[in-house]
Amino acid sequence: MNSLQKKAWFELFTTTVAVIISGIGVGILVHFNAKGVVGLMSFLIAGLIVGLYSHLREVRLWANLDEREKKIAFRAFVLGAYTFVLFVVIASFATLFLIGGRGRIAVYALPVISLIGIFISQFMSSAAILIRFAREQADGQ
Amino acid sequence: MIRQKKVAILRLKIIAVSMLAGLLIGLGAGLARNHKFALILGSFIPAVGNLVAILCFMFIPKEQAKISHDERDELIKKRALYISYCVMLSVVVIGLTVPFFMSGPDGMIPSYYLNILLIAILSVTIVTESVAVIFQYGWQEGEKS
Repeated sequence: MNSLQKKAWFELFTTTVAVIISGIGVGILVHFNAKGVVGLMSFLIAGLIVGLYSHLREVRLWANLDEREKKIAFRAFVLGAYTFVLFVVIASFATLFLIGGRGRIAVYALPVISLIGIFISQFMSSAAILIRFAREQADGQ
Repeated sequence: MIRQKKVAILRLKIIAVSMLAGLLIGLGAGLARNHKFALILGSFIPAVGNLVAILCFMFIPKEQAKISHDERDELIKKRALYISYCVMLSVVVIGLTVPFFMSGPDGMIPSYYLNILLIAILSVTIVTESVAVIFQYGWQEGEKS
């Protein structure tokens, strides 16, 4: 298993764990009716730390990849981003047409949409890398 | 000037004009207490602007030279895409989470909020990508022609 495959598995695992923990967190916040700037700021700071850490990790890993692996990683990233956008587009139009233009939706649905979108996006990104290498291995044999 | 930079500049102009027009017309209709008209025009004009900005590469003719772009241009395009996607993902997550914390879990928002967020995301992505392209080529004209 090369470093890109390890990255794909690691990111899929950490994203799954993060989404589960965040889902539980959203449930707890809904239960305690939490609101306000303090919660928002703590969420944003936590998100910033996670984003910064993952970016630095990505930069370090990127330096060890060869041209072919970089191409595969970039394509997987683009696929993940497209999937996320497509999911948000479908979710937005589905809510508009199912509930109606004058309808209203509960705000706790928004973080849930975000979490599902992040999970699907990461799943597609990791799957793209793993399937690519599995195919190459199969061709090699 | 290289085609990629021309497209980026044109995209920025289209987005700026459509955003300003949408804002002014929406604001004018809002002041005239026609809120439905304000909402429709305020989101429709930027949405059309986004669409035109995406398709504006068709208005700029391809270069006649045999090699119109090299590896450096590809790298610039990739970097710009990466930056714009990262910004886009951050904006989506922030846009989907801020209402939750601001109104509390019992709050309700209009169903068209997500569609307006989509238009905003599209604008932010196009602007970020265009700025990243222009920044990497350099703000001054004629650096690579």
